[in-house]
Amino acid sequence: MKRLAAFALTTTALIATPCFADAQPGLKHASPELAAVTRDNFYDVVVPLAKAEGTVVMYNFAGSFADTWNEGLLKRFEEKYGIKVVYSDVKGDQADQQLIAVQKAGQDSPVDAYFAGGGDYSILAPSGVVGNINLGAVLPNLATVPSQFKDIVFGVDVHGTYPIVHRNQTAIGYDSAVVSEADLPKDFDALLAWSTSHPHQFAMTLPAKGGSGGGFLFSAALNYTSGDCRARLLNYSKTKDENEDFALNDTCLAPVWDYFGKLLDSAELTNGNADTLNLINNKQAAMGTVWEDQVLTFLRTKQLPESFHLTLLKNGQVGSGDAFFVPTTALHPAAAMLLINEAFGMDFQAFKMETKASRSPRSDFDATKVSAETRKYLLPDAVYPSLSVAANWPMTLALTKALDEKILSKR
Amino acid sequence: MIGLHRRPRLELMLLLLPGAGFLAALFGFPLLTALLGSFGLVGDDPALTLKFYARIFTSTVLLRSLATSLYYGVVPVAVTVVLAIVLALALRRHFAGRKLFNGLYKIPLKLPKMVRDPWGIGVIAATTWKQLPFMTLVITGAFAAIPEDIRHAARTLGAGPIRAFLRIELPLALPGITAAVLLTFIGSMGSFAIPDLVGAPNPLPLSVRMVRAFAEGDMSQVFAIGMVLSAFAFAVLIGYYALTSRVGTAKGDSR
Repeated sequence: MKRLAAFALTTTALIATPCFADAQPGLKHASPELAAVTRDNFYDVVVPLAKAEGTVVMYNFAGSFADTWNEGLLKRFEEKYGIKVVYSDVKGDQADQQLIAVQKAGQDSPVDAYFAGGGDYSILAPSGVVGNINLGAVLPNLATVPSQFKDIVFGVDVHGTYPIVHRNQTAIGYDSAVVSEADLPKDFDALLAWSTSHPHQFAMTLPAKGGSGGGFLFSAALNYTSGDCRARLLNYSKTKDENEDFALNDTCLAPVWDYFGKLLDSAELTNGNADTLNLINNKQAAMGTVWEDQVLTFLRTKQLPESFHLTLLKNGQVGSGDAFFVPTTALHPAAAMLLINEAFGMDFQAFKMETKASRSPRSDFDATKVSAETRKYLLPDAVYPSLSVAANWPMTLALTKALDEKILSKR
Repeated sequence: MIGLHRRPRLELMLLLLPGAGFLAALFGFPLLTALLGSFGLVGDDPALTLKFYARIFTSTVLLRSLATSLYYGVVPVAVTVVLAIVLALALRRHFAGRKLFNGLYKIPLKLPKMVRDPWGIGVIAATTWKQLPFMTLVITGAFAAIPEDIRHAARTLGAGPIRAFLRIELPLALPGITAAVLLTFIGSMGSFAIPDLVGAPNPLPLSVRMVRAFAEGDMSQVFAIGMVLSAFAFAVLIGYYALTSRVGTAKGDSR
């Protein structure tokens, strides 16, 4: 009997292996059926298990997304499956550290499905927080999500465990009532010239305090480098120390520091993404570094003038995104997987695009579902997606520290 | 119980246990963990190192952050203590509208637009406003504790109002004033919210850098910054005791 049980366990483990990303253990509380689930039998297997679990705990790190989740996904999910969602808005930094501490203490995760920052994988994964289950290979709604948003996310091999559910884009935002189309800078050099001739009218978010500034810094670095230096900026395999050493000491980045040395003579540094937008809304600046999705939120809530528009600079600006994952020790893994699958469904993807300018990772996303009213606030087709480049957040962090050392500390 | 009375040391320790144990568990243990962590002795791969302190005292960025923290610690306290003493003295007197005035200084003031200015005027103003009620209450209490007779005696013996204040009242109120200064300095030097919201983006104080390090998961750096901020708090505490003991000694000498 014991031999039979051992055989059954071994067989189950072998069958289960394909949906787990690699040799590491998968979800601690996944039943053998869940561990063996495939895309073809997903609903047959997962729905009964999820209903039996009855509850799913979700964390949302993006404060501005609370309505989107609740109105667009959670209510419908609860009605459709009868599974209660316990939802919490969290501060991403703190929640990450909480999950790392819980994981190290060998305790169960307080959350089952966590909507986390796209760049947080490198913080969470080394501690084993990210559940090792290949969502990209199993969830039906991820079938049309390209590899760059579920397998190799921003250059990091996440094995399908950390799929991007929300894509966003950094950009240059401007008040067209102040900056005419003819004066609008088309590249980084033109932006510097415009800023020099309009002191304090270009607001740059401090990279340490907002991703639109970090994205701008990385985009400028890509613009002013070439060959091996540019390739090094796009190398995602380096450690934090290696990146910091490169950003601080490599002479190939001299044109980048020269650019920021000049730009910050005239530009206004701000304390965050919202600070930049407030400055423009208050007519204290005319142009700034922004996120496309945040701009839509500000426009809808009348915190920006209707004349506010977006553009991208030549050679590209950073596009990013945020991910949904199941923690290793999640107590309700089936319900979490079902919820994440629903988040990738076409209806919710269209809803968040319409309400938040949250772009979809799905290749089959139907852009016609977005209203004309929303489209007028988005980046023009002439610049997006052609001028969108992928983020490298670990390198951006290193550049941010180097900017501090090389430019800001001398002011 | 009778047995305990025969062992006074054990009895004393048991009586101290609720308070001291509470402090040890909720203050001492985290402080010890932070101290060990700042030397790289907490985490998955502990190894004794001074590099996290070295970063603070060798990096231009972090040295400027330390200077900014001290600036945000000292200047608001200096401004507040002057205002609080003036308010405390004013509130001792009876005048028309005193009650209204007494309430007004506690009401949040509408701050003018003073964000991102390089001198941190916005931070100083907001911190002063935040600390003024607390400091004024403490200092008012310190002045109220001085018997009126002493002031009258000083005046009778020929001291003018300013001399009586500077030579008699201020020294007698000094323990209360320094206690208020100590507490507000510690609070303002380590404060995060006000410098983060209205301070200049460059340079950032250590408290803001500490939160950034936390976000990056660089806990040893967080601990090292925390210990440096705590060291300044302890230094001020020691200064306070040194000052108050000197005042006490001077009082004893005069007797």
